[in-house]
Amino acid sequence: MAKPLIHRSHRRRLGISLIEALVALAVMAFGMLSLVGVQATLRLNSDVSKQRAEATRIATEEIESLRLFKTLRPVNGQPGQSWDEITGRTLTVQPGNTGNTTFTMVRTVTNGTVDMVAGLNRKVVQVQVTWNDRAGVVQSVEIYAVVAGVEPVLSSLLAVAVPPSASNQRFGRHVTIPVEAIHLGNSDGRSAFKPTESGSVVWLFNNNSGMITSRCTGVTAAQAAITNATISAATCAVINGRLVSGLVQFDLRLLTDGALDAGAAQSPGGPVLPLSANTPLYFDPSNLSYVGQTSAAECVSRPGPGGTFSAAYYCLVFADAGGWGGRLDVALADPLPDGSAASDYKVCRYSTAALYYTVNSDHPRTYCIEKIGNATNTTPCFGRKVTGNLVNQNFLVIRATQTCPTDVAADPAAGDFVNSNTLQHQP
Amino acid sequence: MRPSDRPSARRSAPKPAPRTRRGVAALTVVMVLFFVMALVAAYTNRNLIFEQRISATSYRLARAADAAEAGLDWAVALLNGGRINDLCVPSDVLTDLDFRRRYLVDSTYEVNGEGGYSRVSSNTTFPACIIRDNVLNCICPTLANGNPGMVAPADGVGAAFRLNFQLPGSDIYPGSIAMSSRGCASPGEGASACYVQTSAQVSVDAKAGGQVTLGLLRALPFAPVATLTAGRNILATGGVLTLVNSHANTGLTAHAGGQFVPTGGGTGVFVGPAGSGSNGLLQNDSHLSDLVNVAGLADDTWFKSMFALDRVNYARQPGVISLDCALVACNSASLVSTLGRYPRHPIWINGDLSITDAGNLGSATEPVMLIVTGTFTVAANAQIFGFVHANDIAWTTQASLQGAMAAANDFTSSANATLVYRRDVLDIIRLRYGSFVRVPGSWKLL
Repeated sequence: MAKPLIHRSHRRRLGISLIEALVALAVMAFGMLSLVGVQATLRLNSDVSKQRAEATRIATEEIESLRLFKTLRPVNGQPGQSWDEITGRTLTVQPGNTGNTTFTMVRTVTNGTVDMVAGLNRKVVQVQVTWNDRAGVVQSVEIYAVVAGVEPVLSSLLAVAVPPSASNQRFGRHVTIPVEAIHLGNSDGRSAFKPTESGSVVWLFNNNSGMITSRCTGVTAAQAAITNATISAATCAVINGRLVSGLVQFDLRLLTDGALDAGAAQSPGGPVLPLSANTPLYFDPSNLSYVGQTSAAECVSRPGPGGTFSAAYYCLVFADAGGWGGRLDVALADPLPDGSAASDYKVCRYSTAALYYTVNSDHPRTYCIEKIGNATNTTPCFGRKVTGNLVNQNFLVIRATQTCPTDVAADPAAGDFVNSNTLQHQP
Repeated sequence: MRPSDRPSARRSAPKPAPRTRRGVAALTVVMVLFFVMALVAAYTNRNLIFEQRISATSYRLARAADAAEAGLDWAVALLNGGRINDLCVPSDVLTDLDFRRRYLVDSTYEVNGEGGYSRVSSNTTFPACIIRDNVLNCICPTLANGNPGMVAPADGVGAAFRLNFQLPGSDIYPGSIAMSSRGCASPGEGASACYVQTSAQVSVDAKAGGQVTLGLLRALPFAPVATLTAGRNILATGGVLTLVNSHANTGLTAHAGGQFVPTGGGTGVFVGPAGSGSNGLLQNDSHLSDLVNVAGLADDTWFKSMFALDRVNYARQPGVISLDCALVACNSASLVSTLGRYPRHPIWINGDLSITDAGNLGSATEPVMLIVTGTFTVAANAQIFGFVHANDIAWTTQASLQGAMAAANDFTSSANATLVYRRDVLDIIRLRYGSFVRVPGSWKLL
């Protein structure tokens, strides 16, 4: 009984192996099919990604080309290189080496509404690249940009020094150079000034900056006769000099009402007293804020312009590259020819400020003290040091019994054009 | 003992059992084999998957980088524009500030040098935009007005950027300011959106940043040294021409290539600095007259000498506002309307301009800068604050100016004219008026 049973079972088992193999094959086949499907999808997506990379490149390239405009206005013979010509366009692109599709690039440009009058100074750009992938589905990428309408050359002008203009100069040279100085010609670019007509010293000014670049000695020629040859023959030392100049005016009237007013400050009544022959004006070296001067300043005076009771003065300050500071005082001859002492007089300085500090050009008590504060050894300056020339640093000498005349701020509408305010400077 | 000898083993192991086990084993083997094959397939295709990721990332990065760059250009355009409201839309409401004064303050020389700028506040606000379908949707919040709220698209599609002005360092070149832009491939949402007004980290598709330094190209490179500058003559045919310059460092009142010519009862009063004993009158300056006489008035020589740029490029600067008066001369009304929209901007008048309304034009803190290519006529009792440059100037009615004036050709006054040199007014124009442009080489990727 048992034997045929075993035999039957063995036969059935062999058949089942075949079925098993077939089932396994079927399962395997389905699996393989899905793997092939995945493979196909991967291949399609890989294709799309390759195309997307290409499309991104096309879009970026388009936008970068917009930013590369050469000018704002169209240039004859160079189409498509100006900002004005940035407009919408459609382009079909067939990449040569990798292409299995055709890209369509659509550039849409919207002009800005920020500035209708000033010429639409920005454009909003959208670049859309579309293509059909292998499955026929439309794919796209979009990139946005804004392009400002700024002439490219303007940027370079930021780094270019602006040459001085005739409107910013006096007779083609810096406005602070004394008018009497002789222009040594454009090829030289300097002006020669003889501070004392009878002396032998000449200061050479740079016509553009107004700085005193050289100090020459041994010049016997008169101011008006100075030429390039005169300077070539002289002994000149290169210096870093700055000019301080102005008038010392005098009003020594004993007014019956006892006080000098703004009118007196505007038109002082004289007479002129002589200034000290050697140092008509001086910087006190003991002053704490005497800074940035490499040696004692050279000051001279000469008669003031006609019609005024004044002496003109010119000081050459030997300055550090970073600028200088200090207090400039007037020295009257002492004793004066009439026998009176210099201490019988007061020196006022013309300044619109109410107190001792103000910007350097407005004549503070001490140059470089532009703000409130007392100079110390460690902080000799409160404000900017003087880096350029200072002109119109005027003084008024009055009797010691008078007070320095004051004035209020100018009011052109009321016919008051100038603030002739003065402040006591010495003592 | 063999297992089949045991009764229990025979009972628990019926004959079909080995068949089932064998089938499961085959299937398992097939599955394992298939799994291994799938792994092998995935492994060999990983470069394809990688390529897809790279392509998507590069697209997102391109969108973000271009959005950041768009932000920088957008800010340059707005810095040179006029008044805007909190949504960055042009406005003529006089209480609306322009972009420049929303985010920049005029710094003092001690802090940032002469003409320096700084950021409005350390607790700053950030202008931002979303770009979609070529439409800019922006916010320009200020501390005073607060955040107007960005209207973001519901589907979250669109590129966005947000700008931040940098606090200037101590060694910055005066007049320049650095600005950074954050570009995002998508706007994001809520507190992690690209345009948030905090320093929170954003959650967007991709972000990129760019930074650039901007410099002010000055509209008036240097102030003239005289109250009135004329390439040719200064003619007083009636009334009193009063020219005042009390500024110590310049001191010139009239500066002419030709001469001051009083005729027909016209007179001149010239007042120099206090205590200078000088009237500041400077005539026959050949350096000035050569500019107009040698090359001619139509040439750019005079203009370039004064503004360091030719007329065509000057007029197309982004910060210069043009007013076309070529066909019909403009009057006070058109000028005031333009000045209302574009405060603290040079106004380029192509043609003639006539001041027909009395009253103040500009102020000491917000002076006007007018460049008239034709004739500038003062025909009403106006008080002008600022700088006027014209080909010819005709002064026909009593009026005044505080600042300075320049005529390439002649200045003619037939009525009382009072011109006062104001260095403070001219310095505002010189240091603050002009076009912001990129400093070459300052662009950086953040």
